[in-house]
Amino acid sequence: MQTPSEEHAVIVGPPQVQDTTVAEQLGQGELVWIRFRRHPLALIGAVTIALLVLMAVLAPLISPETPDHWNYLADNLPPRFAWPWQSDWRYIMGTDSTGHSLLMWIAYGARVSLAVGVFAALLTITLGIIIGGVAGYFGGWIDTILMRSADIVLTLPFLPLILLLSYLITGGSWALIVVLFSLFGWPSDARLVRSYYLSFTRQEFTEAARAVGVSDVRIMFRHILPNVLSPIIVSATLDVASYIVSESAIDFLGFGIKSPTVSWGLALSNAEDYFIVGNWWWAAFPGLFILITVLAVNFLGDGLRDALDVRADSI
Amino acid sequence: MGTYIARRLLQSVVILFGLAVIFFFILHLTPGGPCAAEEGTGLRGKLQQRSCAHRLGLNQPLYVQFIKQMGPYLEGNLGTSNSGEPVAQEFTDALPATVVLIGVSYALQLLLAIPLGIFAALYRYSFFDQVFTFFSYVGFSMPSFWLGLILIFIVAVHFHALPAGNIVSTNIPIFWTSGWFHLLEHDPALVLGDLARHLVLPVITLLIVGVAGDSRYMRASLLDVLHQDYIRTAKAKGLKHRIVVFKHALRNAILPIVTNIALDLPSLVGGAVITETIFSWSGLGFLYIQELNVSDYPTIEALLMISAVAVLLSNLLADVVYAWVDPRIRYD
Repeated sequence: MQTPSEEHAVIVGPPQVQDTTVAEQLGQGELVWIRFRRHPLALIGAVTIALLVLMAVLAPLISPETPDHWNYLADNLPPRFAWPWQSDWRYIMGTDSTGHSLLMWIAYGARVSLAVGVFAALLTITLGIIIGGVAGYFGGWIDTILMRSADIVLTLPFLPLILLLSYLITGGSWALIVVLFSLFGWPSDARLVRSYYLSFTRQEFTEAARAVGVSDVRIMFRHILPNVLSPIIVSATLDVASYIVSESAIDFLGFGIKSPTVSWGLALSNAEDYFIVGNWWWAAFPGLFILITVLAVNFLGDGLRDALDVRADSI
Repeated sequence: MGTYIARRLLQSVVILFGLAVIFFFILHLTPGGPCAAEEGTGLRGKLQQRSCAHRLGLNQPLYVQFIKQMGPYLEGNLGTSNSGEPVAQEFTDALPATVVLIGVSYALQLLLAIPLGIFAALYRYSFFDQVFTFFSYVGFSMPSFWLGLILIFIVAVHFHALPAGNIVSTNIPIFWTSGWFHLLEHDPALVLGDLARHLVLPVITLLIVGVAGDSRYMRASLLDVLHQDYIRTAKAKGLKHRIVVFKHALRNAILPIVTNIALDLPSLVGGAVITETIFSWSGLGFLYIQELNVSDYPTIEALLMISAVAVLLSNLLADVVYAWVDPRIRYD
């Protein structure tokens, strides 16, 4: 990806002057990639996330067992090492008290964790863009009403209410957990988006567009939105991390995903009762995967924050 | 300032009423409920459910139930729970445990996080800072329920070094619910030592996540201040590095942390739900989960209202404290 001119710029010359000219010559995408590459942890995070998504999608290939087809005689086995092509591979993380292998819990559980995290963040940011955009673009009484409602939602106790609603309404469906998360999560994103829309609405390019008769909706989403995209992407990425933790937490407390579906939080919840007899692997692996996933997403988010900072005009 | 506080308090009353209505309808318009657990099939089950609904007043029109629920709040108590005990009693029984847990862990959190953050900011990009940044990421991303389980397994189950749960050992009374005289009746050192032993694991669990967040915040805040013009001026005057950092920079850098403390106060009430559950620490979070499992509407509603009051008051407190420590901020 490195073009000769960049190499040159990095090696010789007074850095500030050279950097700025190079930055002007490069496209936006290249600039972002150059900055992103400088964060080794962010790269590791991105690769880890890609591997985890691959694991979730290819779960049937990775785990020889499925959630409803397993060997119930192989219960409480400790982890034993094996290569992926060997038949013992399924016991690499041990089994639980019903004979389900932890490998199955991890591979299939990744689906719920990642799906809830990603879709809840997408829905949250969509709500945030619409509400914050409308509030910032139109201003006046619409702004007042929307931002007051945002304040009220922010005073709600998040975890207790999520537990209550998830217990009363969702009945173990991950799609409804996604909806619940975004219903409580939009205010902070809406505030962020609103602050950008407030400033962009007063700038010349918006006024010019309005003068030639472009519709409000088109100005909001085609003219202003691309300028606001960088902070939105960073915020949504960090949302993914917090939603993955929250989802496992409500599963762990027994108010989320119900039994035939598998998730990392549910695995931990079941493990809690078998701790005393010493089956450490049952709790260790699902939690480790939650930690790795959240860590990877946080690394990626912070790397993106630096890389997407469009105001910085040096590389 | 006085009128500002009065206006905010008035707004809070309106918001609280709105929240009371929302909480009430969330609880009462959803399927299930405290009588759904009544066993029995056919006519027998129906009769049992009906008598349960009658006993708890759930067969009355919703607005009557709402008034009955809200009435006690206006009189200054919290009504009666489904088990027949006053909600205020349940609340005051659970509150001290949460105050002890959150108080101790929060004090330690600040004592650790502020120096760590300062140190990392002063020696930015040093080896210490790199290690600090990595571990703060790990702590920040740590699922606290997993950390708690691992700690229980290693320290309590495997090494039998510390108790795995509860507030006190079974042979020692919890002195704040059973009467303070128990503290004197038994050896106070024994009672408090037992409490301390039970505190260690839950406090560590809360600390690791909390310190990671707060120290990063402290580091960012101090770095922000250190790059400002007045710091350069102070250095240019020839002041000692130590004086510039600790007298000039730190005072401003610590402002956001002070507000953060006020904003974190609600965790005293709703807070450590997860940690309290793992360690069977019978505080408010533990109480909430228990009442949720039996659908005890009056208690759930009361706990949610109390935490909403806590959030509103602490937001107000944060704004007032901020204006007090930073004279540039004025509310009209």
